[in-house]
Amino acid sequence: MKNYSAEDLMVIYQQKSPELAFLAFEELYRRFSAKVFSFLLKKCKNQADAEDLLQKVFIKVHESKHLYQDKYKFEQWVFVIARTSLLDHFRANKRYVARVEKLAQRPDEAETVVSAADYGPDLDLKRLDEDQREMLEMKYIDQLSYQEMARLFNKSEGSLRKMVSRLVINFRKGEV
Amino acid sequence: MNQVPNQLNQKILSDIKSRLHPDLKILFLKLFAIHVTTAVATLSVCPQFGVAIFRTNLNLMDVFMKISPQFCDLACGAFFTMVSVLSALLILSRDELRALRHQQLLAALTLTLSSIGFLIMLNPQMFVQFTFLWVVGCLAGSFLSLGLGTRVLKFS
Repeated sequence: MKNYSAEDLMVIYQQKSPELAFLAFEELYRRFSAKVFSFLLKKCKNQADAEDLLQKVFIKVHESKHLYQDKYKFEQWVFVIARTSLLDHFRANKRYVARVEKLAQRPDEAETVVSAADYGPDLDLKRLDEDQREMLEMKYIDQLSYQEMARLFNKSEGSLRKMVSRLVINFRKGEV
Repeated sequence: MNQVPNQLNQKILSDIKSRLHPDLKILFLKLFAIHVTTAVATLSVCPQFGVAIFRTNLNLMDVFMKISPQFCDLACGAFFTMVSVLSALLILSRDELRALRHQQLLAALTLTLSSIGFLIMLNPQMFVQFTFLWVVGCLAGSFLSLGLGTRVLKFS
């Protein structure tokens, strides 16, 4: 596989048997992952976000491989995907930061919204630790989806779902 | 240049590997489920089978019979499995179809044997009337349509 150009490898990855396709992907990944990672790290200046984005970029490469045409340079194509993923990430973060800043200016309102939404009049968010509070705010005030929260917390959707529902149950029981 | 953490490399590569190699048991179960659905639909309009819930003027069997009874057997068998393969081409993911293409004979056998199974279960007498040509039609129809369909999707 080392003797093939990236464009040829992409054709093998698109069309050949699963075994050959994986070998081709492995080679493409070996050649380009460090470049893409450096680009992402340089732009978002955060190791965890860059790692998360690198994963997304290569998953997108896999999911869109049938759209690739060998008249394009593979490197250009993969960087277009990286840039798009980066923009999506910035947009999602910008929305989140704007909401948090808005809430930070009106802390009383945040508590009112949560208590009115679900938890009854005795809710005191200050009794929660930082992560728990943030989790509830994201879910019930910012109304982020579990998928978006999973990205921000770097946890799986399933475990976040469990943590939030456990918190809500504990709240209802008055254990928090 | 910044180095990607080794753990992340492994994670991405194993993720892609598992996508490229879908679980064959689950894949064949999906194919079977698709075949059950399309078989019920096909048999519900087939005049020969005797269920014919929907009576239509479109009678493919008559068209096949005009050519010859042998051709009718062959074409009916092929049609029965081809509808399932075409549905599978629309429903399954590209990675699943690629894996299926590399198990083409096994997929064709699965569709043919399950077709024989349906007919025996639903109407054993009917099955006895079917000839060897119907089974050949089933096998050839599924094998060729899967080969052609995945070739159109550019898998080789």
